[in-house]
Amino acid sequence: MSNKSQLNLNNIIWLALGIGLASFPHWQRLPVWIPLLHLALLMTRVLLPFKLPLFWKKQKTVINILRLIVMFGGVFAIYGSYGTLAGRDVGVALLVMLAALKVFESKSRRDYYISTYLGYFLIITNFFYSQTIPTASYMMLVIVIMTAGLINFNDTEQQLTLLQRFKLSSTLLIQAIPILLVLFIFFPRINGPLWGIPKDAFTGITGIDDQMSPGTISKLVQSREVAFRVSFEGAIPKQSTLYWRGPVLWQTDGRKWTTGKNESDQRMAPIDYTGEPIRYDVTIEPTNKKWLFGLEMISTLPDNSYLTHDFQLKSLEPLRARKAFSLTSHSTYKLGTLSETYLERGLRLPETGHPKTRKLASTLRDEFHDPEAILNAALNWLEKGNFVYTLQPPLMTEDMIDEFLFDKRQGFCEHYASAFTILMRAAGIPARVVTGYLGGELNPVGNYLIVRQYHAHAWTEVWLEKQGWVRVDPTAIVSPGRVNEGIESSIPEAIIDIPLGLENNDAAIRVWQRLRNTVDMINYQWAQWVLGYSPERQKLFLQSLGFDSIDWKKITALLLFFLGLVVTVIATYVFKKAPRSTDPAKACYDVFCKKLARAGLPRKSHEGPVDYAQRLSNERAELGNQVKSITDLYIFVRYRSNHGKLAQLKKAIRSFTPNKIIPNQS
Amino acid sequence: MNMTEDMNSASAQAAKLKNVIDATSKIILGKSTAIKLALACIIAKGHLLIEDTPGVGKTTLAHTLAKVLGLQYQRIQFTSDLLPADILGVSVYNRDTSKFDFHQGPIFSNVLLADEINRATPRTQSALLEAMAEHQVTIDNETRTLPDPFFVIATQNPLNQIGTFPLPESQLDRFLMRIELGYPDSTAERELLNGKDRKELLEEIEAVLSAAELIQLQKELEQVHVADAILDYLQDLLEFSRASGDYLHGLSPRAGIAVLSAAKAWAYIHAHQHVLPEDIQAILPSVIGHRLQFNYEVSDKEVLKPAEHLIQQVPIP
Repeated sequence: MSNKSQLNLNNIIWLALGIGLASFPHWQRLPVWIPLLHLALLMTRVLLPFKLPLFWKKQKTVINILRLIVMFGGVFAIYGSYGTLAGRDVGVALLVMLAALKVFESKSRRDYYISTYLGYFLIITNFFYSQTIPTASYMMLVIVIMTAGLINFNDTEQQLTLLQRFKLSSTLLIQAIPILLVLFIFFPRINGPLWGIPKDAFTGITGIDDQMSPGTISKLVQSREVAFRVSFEGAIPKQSTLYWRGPVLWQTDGRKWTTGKNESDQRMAPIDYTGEPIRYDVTIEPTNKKWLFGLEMISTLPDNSYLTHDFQLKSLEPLRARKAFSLTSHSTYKLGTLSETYLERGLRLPETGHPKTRKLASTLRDEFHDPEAILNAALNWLEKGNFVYTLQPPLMTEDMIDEFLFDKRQGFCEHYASAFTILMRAAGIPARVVTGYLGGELNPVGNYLIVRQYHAHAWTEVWLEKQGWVRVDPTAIVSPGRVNEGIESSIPEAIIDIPLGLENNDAAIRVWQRLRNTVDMINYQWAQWVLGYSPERQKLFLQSLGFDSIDWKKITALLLFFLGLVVTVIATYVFKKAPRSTDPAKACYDVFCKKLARAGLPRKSHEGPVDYAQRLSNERAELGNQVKSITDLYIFVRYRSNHGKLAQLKKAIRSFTPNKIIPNQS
Repeated sequence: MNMTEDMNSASAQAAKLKNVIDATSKIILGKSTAIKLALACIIAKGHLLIEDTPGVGKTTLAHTLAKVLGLQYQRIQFTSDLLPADILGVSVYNRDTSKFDFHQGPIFSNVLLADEINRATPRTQSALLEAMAEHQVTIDNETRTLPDPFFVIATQNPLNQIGTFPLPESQLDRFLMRIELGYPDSTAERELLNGKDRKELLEEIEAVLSAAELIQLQKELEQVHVADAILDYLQDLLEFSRASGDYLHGLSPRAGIAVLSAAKAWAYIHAHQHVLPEDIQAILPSVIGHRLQFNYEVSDKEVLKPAEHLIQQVPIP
């Protein structure tokens, strides 16, 4: 086939199908006109030249002008939609539109190949958005279809059936697995994704942030999205102790809490760890933030991370991809003293506001003097104050803290943490708000915890002279269930996500939950071992293979070595003369020859069955009859092509035992 | 068709052929393999080249076969002054009719015995060989078909090559088989010495077959079954001759076809309804011996002939 030959309908359908399927997952993410244009171009290319061949041939100028209009118009329209021509979303939009345009203008063999390569590239771009198992499976399927299209295109004589094409294409994909494994295991890893995922890739990610205002956390609690998963080395600690520590908030304007600016005194209180260590692995979903979440008090840090002066565990880079890391924490520890200047920032209050709160605070201070007693009295006051823990607190507009503590008395954890911290500060006790997650959902299938966004929580820490920073969770006072049994007992059932119609069927719910847990476990393993195969994991894995002190040069050498090994093995296999389809009769006869070879009478490779039988009966007269009948049957099946006697041949050969005769002979 | 039926119809034909072989063996003593090969060559509609030293019975074999098969035959002794017209025939002016009358040459017969074919000039050789390939001759712009069956049994003497024109490979290729007779063994030799003169015996011999029967046998050859396994084997042989580098030139597709039809004829003579690897091996030296030459570097050539080397090197699939 020459370069100039025209593509036929069959080729175009395969091409359009491949490109269409490769871009399909993008459609929902793009402005609606792009998929429509995409489809229209593909359909036009498939239908028009074959329905109206004359129009297609004669109106070349019209088509060329149309093509230019679509191209420039499309690029302008995309610029109009996104306001830029750079970034992930725009890039994908351009690629989806232009790939269809390429199919539209495809005429020659060369065009077909270029379009197919564009299609393969389109397949990769889907991983910018999703790296889950279903996405990967779908993309594999599209690769098989595109490759089958290529096979079809090159099978000009149409010798293969559709099924054979798919079989060949799948075989090609399967044959690539060893190379895939070598590249996966040995390719030098860098932190984060291999190529920089564009900055706009993380819009719309929910999660805990560096600021908190009323509604921040109650909004998060609406989301079932997974924040991170944890597997413990030993037993899973009690729910009420699972405080996953996140951003620490110092600065308030009476409504909104922020981390505040960097202070000069950044000294960390010295920590004295006591008690049993808890070891666990965390796999965190991308947040585009730097916070990592761990239990108090973290004693060993993962690579590329640090502990701030207020014990926030932070990564050096924003989390742009799933990250897996190992942590050790000690639930009991002692903190050293801190300077006055450091503690002073834990007492700062807005200039004005919260008169009622301040009044309560001064009453408490006057009455008790001792910080610990003040704290207990305040908690006592909360407990007796008929406070309600609710996701839908009433609107508080004026002075939020006063209104909440003395008027409405309904709120969510952020209200309690915020109000209680302000009360403590007003009473002269250094205090801060800590946000993070509380608890986690046990996945019994994989025996690990899933911490979802709805586990988000906020609490207070106060500085007591003798004990250091002490965690005080006012929510626990108001709604002990939230802390002891988990969020599930405190929030409406709607977010627990049970399919409609199953609410009253306990058995079905159990099956449903088990199924969901299994799926989540598979995803977790995928995340840990496939997506979370970080430089640290690679290092550990290679160490377990016996390669110590590995650096990128050694890894590259290993990569090249194993790649060469795999390619050599494959090449040997491929270039070895392809064995003929083994005839069942021949296979039987080989068994017969093998038996005789073991008996010391091997057949020469160029010896025909009759000659062999002749020689056998010369050398072993007692075998003569059996050998003759088997040889006759074999000849009849193999050289007379009469397969009816195959079973008889098989039987005769099975019962043929020359070995038994030999001892008599010798 | 079942197994026994196959055997019966085959044995009927085999009986006829056995008569041919027996009758020929009475004259050519102790050469049953050569006789069978020659017969196979004829049944496969091929031309036969007998190559051996003088006096081993080349011409006698050719004569006997022609007679036993009941065919009309002509013999030409090739010499260097033989002209194409001596073989094909000439047009002679007839004064009575004022026309040219065509006088058929010896080629217009069922069997042409071409003795010492390598003594004729290339021009004469090629006139004969063309007739062999086309089964027709064109003289004075008129195409004349040769009788059916038609085949050439040529003999050639490998010694005394002075004043000969050896047939080039391309022309040797026209012969389906080249066989050698060799000296008789001692029993046959003694019998030969004791017995009557061969020429007298040849006069006495009766035809066992007729031309029509021979054509019938040639047709029945098509019914010999060739399994895929045999074609695989044949292709392996051809591939080895081409790819191994042991030979100057690989076997041609025509050689492949020749091997197959000769093997079918061989199987047929032995009353088999199908071709076996052994059949191919049996005829292979005769069919490809004159088409295959060793490359200069092959070590086996001291011991083995090209065809034997080929058989030993290629496993039966």
